[in-house]
Amino acid sequence: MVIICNGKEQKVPEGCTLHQLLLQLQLDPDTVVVECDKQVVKRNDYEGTVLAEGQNLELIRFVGGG
Amino acid sequence: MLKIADKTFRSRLFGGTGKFASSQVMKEALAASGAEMITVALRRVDLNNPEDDIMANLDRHTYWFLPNTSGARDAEEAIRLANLARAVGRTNWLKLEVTPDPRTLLPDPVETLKATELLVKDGFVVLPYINADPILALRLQDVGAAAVMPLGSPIGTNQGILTRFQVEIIIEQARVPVVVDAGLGAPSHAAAAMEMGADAVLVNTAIAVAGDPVRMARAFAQAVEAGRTAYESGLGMQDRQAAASSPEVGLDFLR
Amino acid sequence: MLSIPDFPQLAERIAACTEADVQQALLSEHPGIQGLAALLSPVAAHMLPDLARRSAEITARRFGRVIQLYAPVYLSSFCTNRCAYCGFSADNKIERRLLSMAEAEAEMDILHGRGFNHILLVAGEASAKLGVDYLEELAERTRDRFAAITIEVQPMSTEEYRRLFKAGITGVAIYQETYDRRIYDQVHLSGKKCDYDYRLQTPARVAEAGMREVGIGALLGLADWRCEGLALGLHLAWLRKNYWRTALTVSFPRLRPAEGDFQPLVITTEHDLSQLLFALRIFDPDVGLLLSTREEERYRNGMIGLGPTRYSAGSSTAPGGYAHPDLEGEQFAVGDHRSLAEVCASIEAKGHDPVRKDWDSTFQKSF
Repeated sequence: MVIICNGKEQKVPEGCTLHQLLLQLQLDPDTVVVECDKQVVKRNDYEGTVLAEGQNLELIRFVGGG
Repeated sequence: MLKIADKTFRSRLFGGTGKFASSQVMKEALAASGAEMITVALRRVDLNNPEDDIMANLDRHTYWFLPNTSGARDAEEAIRLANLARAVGRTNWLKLEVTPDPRTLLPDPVETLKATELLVKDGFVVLPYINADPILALRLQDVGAAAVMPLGSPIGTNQGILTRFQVEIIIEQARVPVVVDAGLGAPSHAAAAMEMGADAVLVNTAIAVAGDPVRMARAFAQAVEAGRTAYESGLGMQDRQAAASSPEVGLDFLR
Repeated sequence: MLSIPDFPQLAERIAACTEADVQQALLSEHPGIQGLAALLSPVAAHMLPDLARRSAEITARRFGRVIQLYAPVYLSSFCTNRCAYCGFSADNKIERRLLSMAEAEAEMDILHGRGFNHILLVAGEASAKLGVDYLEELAERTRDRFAAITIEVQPMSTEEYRRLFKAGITGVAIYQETYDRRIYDQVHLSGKKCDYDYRLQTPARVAEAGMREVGIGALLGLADWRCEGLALGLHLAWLRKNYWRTALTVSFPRLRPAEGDFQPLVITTEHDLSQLLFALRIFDPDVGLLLSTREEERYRNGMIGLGPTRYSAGSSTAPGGYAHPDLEGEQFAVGDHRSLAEVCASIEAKGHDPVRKDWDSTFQKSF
C-alpha cells in the first residue's frame, strides 16, 4: 500500500498504524505531530489510526528557529 | 522578574535556536546565555535525517518553548502552524510571525492583527512579532496579545535599534511586556534596548553566527543585565541643546 | 482599577525631592511620576522660570502657537448634592432655574453668533430635572452648529455616555474636586457625589463609551495642591495606559477667598497654580490644559504661550445668563469679564492664534 508522506510516496504494509509508521521511520512519536489529510491527529490516537491507501501525511516537528 | 501571561522569567534574554553550526554549540550557547525562553520553528521532518531532533537536545524542564510561525505568509497559514505547534509542543504559547515579503521578512500588520485576535480567542498565548508601530502594538494589546515584539531592524541585519523612536513610544504606552526582537547585532544593541525600558530582548543570529557563540551568548547576557540595571537605577539625562537655546520667559505678571 | 495613594504618602514623595531631581525632570523627555513629584516640590518653586521655559517649549512644539476657545452654557442650577464649596449646593438659598429646551438652544445660539464653536454644557447634579434624555435632545438639535459640545454634569453610566456620544456630545469633563479622600468626605455632605470611588472611575467610563475627550481636574483650595497635582498625574497616566484613543484635558478651578460662606481650606496662589500647570505640562506633553474665566485677565494674558491650551471667554455662570445678563444665581464669580473678541485680541497680541474650531463633528462616523 502506498501513502504520501511529506510529499514523497512511501510503501507501508496493509493495516499499518500511524504509530508503527513513525517507529519504522525512526521517529519519536512524542516529538512529532502528524497532519493526516490536513487534519492534526491527536497523539493519543497514533496507535489506533490505521493508514489507508493514498493518504497524505505531513510529519512535523520543531527545528531551530528565531 | 518578568511576567508574561501567567509565567515569570528571571532572564530577560530570550534565545533563538536557528542558524547554529551544530546542536552541540547551540546547547552550550543557550546554557551560557541563561535564557529561559527559547524560540523554535516548525518544519517537516527530514525523513533522511530522522535523528536530527531538537527536542532531544533541549530539556523541556530547563527551557520554556516558544514556537514561532515562521514561514507563514498570511493569517490562515499562521493559524495552521499555530495549531501544529500546539500539538507538537503541548504549549499554547506562540510567537506569531507573518512575513509575506521573502526579501525583507518584514511582518504583515494586517494579517498579524487578524491572526492574533483569532488565536487569542482559541486560547493561545500570543506574542506577535511586529514592525515598531505603536498603534499596531496598542491594537494587538486590545485584542489580547500577551506581549508585543517590535523589531529593532529587519531580521538578520544586525543593525541594532533603527526604530528607536517608535520603540520608545511602544514602551511608554504598552500595558503588556515589550520584547525587542530582530536586528540586535551586538551586546551594546541589547543593552540599549534594555536601557530604554524594554522588558526583554530576543537574540538569535548575533549569537549563532559569532566566532565563538558560547562567549557571545555570555556577552549578551551581561549586556541585558547591565541595561536592565541601568534602566531600573534611573539613567542620568543627556543635556538637551534646546534648553539652552530657549529664551527666558517673563513671569512678572504673577501676583 | 485606578487607585490613588493617600495624601500623606504623596506628600512624602514630593517632600523627598531635591534640586537635582528637579534638574533631571527638566532635562528629561519622559520625567515620569517621579519627575512630576520633583516638579511639584517646594524646591521647584524657586525654579519657576525654568519650569515656565520648559513648559512653554513643550507646548509650542506639541500644540503650536494657538489657544482654543470655548464658552460654558449653564443649563440648570438644581442640585441634589450638598457640597460645602459650591454655589449650587442643595441647601443654598438661591433661586433655581432649569432652562427649557428652547431657552438652552437660545443660549447656544447667542454664543454661536458671537463666534464660539466649542460649547461646554454645565448643570448641577439633578438627574430628575436634567438627565440623559435632555442632553441627548439638546445635542441632536444643536450638533450641526458646533465643532465640539462637551458636558460637565452628573456622572453617568457607560451606556448613557454612549447615547450622548451618538447624539453629538464629543467630550465629558468630570472633576474629582479633591483626590484627598479625607477632605472629600468632609466637603461632600450629602448626595450621590459622596461616593469618591464612583466619581473616580467616571473618566474611565467616559473613555470606554468612545468619547473623543475626557477632562479631569481638582478644585484648588480644598487640599494640598502639590498632592492634587501628583494625583492628577497618576490619573492621567492611568487613563493613557488604559484608554489610548481618548484625548485628555486637565482643568484648574481655583477657589479664592471671597464673599460667601465657604472659605478655601488652603490657599493656592497664582505662583502655585502656575507651578502646578507647568509641572503637568512637562509631565504630559499631550494633555490639554484649561484656564477658565475664574482667573483674572492679567493672569490669563500672562500665561498665554506658557502651557495652557484652552481658554473660556465671555462666560456667564448662571442659567440663562447670556440672554439675560442681569440674572443672578451664578455658580461662581467670574474673574475675567472680557468678551470673546477682547480675549482673541489679547491672544493675537501675544503672537498666538485664537482657535474657535478644532474638529468637525460632521467627520465623525454615524452609527
